[in-house]
Amino acid sequence: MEKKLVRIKAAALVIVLLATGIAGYLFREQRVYKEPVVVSEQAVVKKLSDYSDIVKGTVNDCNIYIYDSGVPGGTMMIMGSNHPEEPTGVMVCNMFAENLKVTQGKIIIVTRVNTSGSLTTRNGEAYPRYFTQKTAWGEKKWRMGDRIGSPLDSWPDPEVYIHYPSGLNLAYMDIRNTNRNWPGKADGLLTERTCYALMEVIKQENVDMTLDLHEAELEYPVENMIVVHEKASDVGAMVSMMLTSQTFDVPLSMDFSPKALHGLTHREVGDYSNAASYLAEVAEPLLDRIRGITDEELLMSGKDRFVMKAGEHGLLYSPIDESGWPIEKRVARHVETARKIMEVNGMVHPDQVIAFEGIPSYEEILANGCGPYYHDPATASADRIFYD
Amino acid sequence: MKKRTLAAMIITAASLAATACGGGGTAATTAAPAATEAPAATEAATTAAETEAAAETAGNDAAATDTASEEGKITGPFIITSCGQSPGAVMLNMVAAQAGVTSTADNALTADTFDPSGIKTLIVTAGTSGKGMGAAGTDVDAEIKRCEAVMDKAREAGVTIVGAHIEGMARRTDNSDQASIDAVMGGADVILVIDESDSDGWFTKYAEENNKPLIKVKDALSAGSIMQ
Repeated sequence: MEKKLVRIKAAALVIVLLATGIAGYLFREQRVYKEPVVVSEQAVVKKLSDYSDIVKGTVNDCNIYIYDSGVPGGTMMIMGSNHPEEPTGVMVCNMFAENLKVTQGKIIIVTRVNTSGSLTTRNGEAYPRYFTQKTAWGEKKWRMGDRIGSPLDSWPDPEVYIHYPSGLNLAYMDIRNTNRNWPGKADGLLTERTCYALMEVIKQENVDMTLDLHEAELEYPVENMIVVHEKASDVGAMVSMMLTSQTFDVPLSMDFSPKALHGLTHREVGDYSNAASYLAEVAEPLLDRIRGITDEELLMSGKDRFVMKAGEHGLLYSPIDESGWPIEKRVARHVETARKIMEVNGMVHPDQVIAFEGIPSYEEILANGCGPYYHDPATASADRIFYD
Repeated sequence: MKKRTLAAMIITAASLAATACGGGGTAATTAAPAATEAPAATEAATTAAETEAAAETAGNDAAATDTASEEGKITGPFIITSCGQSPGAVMLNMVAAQAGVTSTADNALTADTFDPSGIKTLIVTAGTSGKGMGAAGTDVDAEIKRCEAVMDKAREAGVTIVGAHIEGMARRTDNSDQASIDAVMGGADVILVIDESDSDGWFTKYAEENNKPLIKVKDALSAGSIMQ
C-alpha cells in the first residue's frame, strides 16, 4: 500500500515537472522571439531611448521608424500594439514600415508601443502565442500578446494605481497598461516611463498628429470608431463622414475624448503636446467574452458563431455575419483611416501636408490580402532588417 | 483660411473622390403622408433637376430620382446643437458650411444664450455620447432639459426646429439614446435622418404616427443636398 502511494506521488511529480518544463519552454520561446521588419529604403530607425534614456536597457526600448521626405510639411506618428492582444495595430505599422515612401512631410511609425505586453499572452484566456500571415515567400509571424505589460517586467503593482499627473484612481493592473499611463512619468514604473519617453518623441520630432490603433470586442460600445481630442474635432468629423459615405461598408463613427478620463492617448497627447490625437477602433471578435474556440483561426478570420448569435439577439455594437471580421478588412480600415486623417488634416492645415507612396489602398488590401505587402527577411539586405 | 472655405474644399474633394471611384448613393427624401403643411424653412423640391444638382453637391452622382416622393429642404442660417453631446452637431455644421449655408454649432447652447434673431432653423441632433457627456460634465437628463428649453424658445420665436439623427445605429444603442431621440423628435417640426439610422423604419413610423415631415438622406455627408 505504501509502495503504491509512493509510485503515485512519483508519477504525479513527473507529470508536474514535465508540464512545467513544456510550459516554461513555450513561455521562453515566445518571450525571446524577435519579429523581423524589412524597412523601406527611406527609413531611419532609432530607439526610444534615443529620445529619453529612462527606458534604456528595458524591453520597452522599442524601435522608432522615421520616414522624412525632407520637404516641409506635417508630421504624423502612427502607433501600433499599444494593446498587444489587438494585432491589427502591429500589422498596419509593419505594412507602413516596410513600404513607405514619404514625399512631403514626415511619418513616424512605432510598431510595438508596449513590447513587454507582447512577450506573453493573457493568463487564463488560452490565446494563441503567435499569429501569422501567408505571403508569397512564406509566413510572416508575430507574437500575440496581452492587453497590458508583463509582470516580469514591472512588478509589484500598486494596490491602487493613481494616474500621474491627474490623480485619477484606476485599477491596479492599469499601471502596466500603456493606454492608461500617458503623458507618463520620468521616475515612475516601466509603463509610465515608456509613455514619458514616447511623449518625448512627439515633442522632439514636432509631431502634429498621432494615431493610436486599437481593436475592440463587439460587445463594447466604442467600436468601429475614431475617438478624437477636441483639437481634432473638425478633421475627425470629416474623416468619419467621408469614410462612412465613400469607402467603408460598416460606418466609422466618431466620438470626443472625455476630458475626465485620463491616461489615454486621445486625451493626454492632445493635452500635453502640440499634436492632435486620434484613436481608432475596429472589431475583433476574439476579444468577445462570448466567443468560441480561441485560436489563431478566430483571431485572423474574425468568424465566430457564438458572437454571431449574440448579434442576432441585439447584444453587439457592431454587425457581424458569416464573413466575420477578417484581418485584411481590419487592417484595410486602419490603413485608410490613417490616410484620410492625413489627407483632411492637410486641407485644414496647409502647412501640415503629408504626401506618401507605397501604401496599398483599402480596396487593394481587401482584394489582395495583407500578404503581398510584407517582405522576405531572408532575401533582404541586412541593413534593412530590424527586429521588434 | 476660414473654416467654411476649408470645409468646402474638403467636401468638394470628397465629392470628386466619390465620383472617381463610382461611389455615392442616393439622397432620397421622403415626407410623411400627412405632412401637407411643411414648416416655413422646408419646401418641396419641384424638379428632378434641382434634386440632382443638390445631390451632386454632396457627392452623390447617383442623384435622387425618386420624384414620386416629396422633396424637403431645410433653410439656413442654422444653429445646431446636440442633445447628448455626440459629434452630430459638428458634422452637420461642416456639411452646412460646404453647402454655403450660414451655420453655427454649439453643444453648450442654452435658452439663455440662444439668440434666435437671424436664425431660421434650429437643428438638434439626437443620440448620446457617454464620452461627450462625460467631457461636458453632463448627463442625458440635463441634456434633454437643456434642449427642450432651447426648442421652446425657438418655437416662441418662430424658428423651425429640425430633429436630426445622422450618426446611425451607433447612436441608437441604449436607453439614453432613446430618451434623447424621444425628446428631440417630440419637439421637432421636421425630422432629418440618414438611411442607417432608419434601417429598422423607426423614424419613418414615428413621422407617420406624429404627422411630421421626414427627410431621409443616404448619410451625413449627403445632408448638404437638402440644405439651402
